[in-house]
Amino acid sequence: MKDREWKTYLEGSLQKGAAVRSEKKEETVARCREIMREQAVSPAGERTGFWQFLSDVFRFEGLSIFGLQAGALFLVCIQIGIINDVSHYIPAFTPLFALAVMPPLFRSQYYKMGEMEAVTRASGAEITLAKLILAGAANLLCMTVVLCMVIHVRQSGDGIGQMILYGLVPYLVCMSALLRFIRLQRKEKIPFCAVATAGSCVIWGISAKALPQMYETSATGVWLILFAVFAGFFGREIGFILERKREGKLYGIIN
Amino acid sequence: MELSIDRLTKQYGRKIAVDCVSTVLRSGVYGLLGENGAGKTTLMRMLCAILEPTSGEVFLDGREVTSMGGDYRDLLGYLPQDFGYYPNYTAKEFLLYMAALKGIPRDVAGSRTKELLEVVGLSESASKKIKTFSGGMKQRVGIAQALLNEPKLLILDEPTAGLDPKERVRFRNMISDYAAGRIVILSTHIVSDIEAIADEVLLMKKGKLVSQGTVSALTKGAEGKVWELTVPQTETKSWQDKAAVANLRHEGEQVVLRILAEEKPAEGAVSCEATLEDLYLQSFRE
Repeated sequence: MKDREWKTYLEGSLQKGAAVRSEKKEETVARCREIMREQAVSPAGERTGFWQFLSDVFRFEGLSIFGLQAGALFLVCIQIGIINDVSHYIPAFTPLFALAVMPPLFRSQYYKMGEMEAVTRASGAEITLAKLILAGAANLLCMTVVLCMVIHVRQSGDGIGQMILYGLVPYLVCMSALLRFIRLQRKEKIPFCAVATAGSCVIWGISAKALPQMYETSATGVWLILFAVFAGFFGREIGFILERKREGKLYGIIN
Repeated sequence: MELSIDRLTKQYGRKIAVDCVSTVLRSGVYGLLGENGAGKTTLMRMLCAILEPTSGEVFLDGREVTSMGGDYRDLLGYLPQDFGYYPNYTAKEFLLYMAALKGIPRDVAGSRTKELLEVVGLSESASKKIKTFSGGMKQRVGIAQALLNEPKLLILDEPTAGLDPKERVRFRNMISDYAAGRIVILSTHIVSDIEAIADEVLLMKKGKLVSQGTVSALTKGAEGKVWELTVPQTETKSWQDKAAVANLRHEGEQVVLRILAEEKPAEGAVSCEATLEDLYLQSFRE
C-alpha cells in the first residue's frame, strides 16, 4: 500500500472512535509508515535474480537436460537414416523430446526432494520454469537438427513450414498435457503421461502409413488449427507458471 | 519476531489431522511433542506453507505467510521428517544446489557451505557422494541445508532421528546457540532432547494442542503424581498390569518401579520429581 492509502485507511479507522488530535494523527501516520517500510525490507540477506538462478539450474541440471535431449536426438537420427518418406514421420519423433524432458522435471519427486525444494525462495514455479527454459532451448536445437537432417535426406527444403508444424503439434500436445498434470498435482498421472507420450510416437507413426492424406498440402489448415489450439493450451500453462512465480506461490507436485 | 497460528485446521476427509490449533510463538526453541499421528508433521508442513490448511491462518509479524510468498521462504529453514537427496551429489554440491534454490549468491554460498559442513562435522566428507553416507550423516546434511539461508524461522521435523548420542549433543548445542533472536520449532520423540534445549514445549494430542509451557511449568502439572516403589522382582508383572509403570530399574533382587498415579499406589511408595517424560507418558496414557 502507498503512504496515501495508509493515511486514508488510518483516518477511517480513527474516525470511528473519539475525536482525534491532528498532530497525534500525523505522528501515528509517520510511525506507521516507518514500521511498514521496515517490514517491507526483507530481513534476509542479498538474493540472486532469475537469470542468475537460471544459470545455477543450468550448472546443476544442464548436463542431464541436454544429455537426455541428445539421447533422444540420437534415436531420432537413427530412424531418419532408415525410414523412407521421413517427413511424414516427424510427428512420431518429437514426442520423444517431450519424453526426455520428464526425468529432470520430476527428479525432485523421484528422489523425495520435493518438500525441501518447495520451501526455498525459488518456488516450484521458478524451478519448473528454469528447467522448461533449458529443456526448451535443447528441444529447439534438437528439432532444428532433425529438420536439417530430414531436408538433407530428402535433398529438398520443400514443405519446410508443414514439417515444422508436424514437429510442433505433437510436442505441444504432450507438453500441455504434462504441464496440466503438474498444475493439477496429479502425481499418479505422471507414469500414464510418460506411457501416453511414448505411445503417441507409435500412433503418429501408424498415422503416417494409415492416413497419408493428413500429410498432404491440403491438410495444412488442419495442422495450423491444431497448432493454434495446442499452442494456446501450452501458453496457458506457461502463463499459470509465470503467475505463480510472480506471486511467489507454490506450484506443482511437492511429494 | 512473532509467529501467530490462528485456528489452524487440516482435515483429510473425515479425519482431522490438526484441530483448530492457535498459539503465538516468539524467539526461542519450541519442542513439539506428541505420539505418532498427533498431527505434528501436518502442523509443521502448514507452518512451512507447503500444505494448505482447511481453515485458519499463520501470520509472521502480522503478515499472512502465504501472501508473503518468496519473502516468507527466505526467512524459513525446514528439515522434513522423511527427505531424500540426489545420490550423485557430494555433500558440498548438494548444499551448493540448495543454496542456489534459496537464492544465495555463489560467493556467499561457497563460504556458508564450508562453514556449515564444519558445524555439522562433515568437513572431511564434503567431497564424498551422499549415497555413501550413513543415516546420521545424511541427517546432518539435511540440518545443514536448513541453516543455509540463516533462517529466522527454523522448522525441524525429527532432526535427531538417526544421530548418535555425541551428534545429538552437538546438534542440541548448535540449536541453542542458533536460536537467539530466532524461532526454532522442532519435533522429536526423544523427550530428553526437548528437555535439554526447548524453551517451551507444545504438547499435541489427536491434532489438538493440549498444553504449552516451559518444561518446569508443565512438569509442575505432574507433580505429586510420580512415585517410586521398590518391590521384589516377582511382583513386577502384577504392578505393570495394575499401574502405569514409566520405568523400572533392577537393584539386586529388588526392582525400583517409577509409577504414574494420582494417589500413592502403595504404602512404601515415595513421591519423586516429575520429568517431561513422566508428563508425556501421563498425557498419552490410554
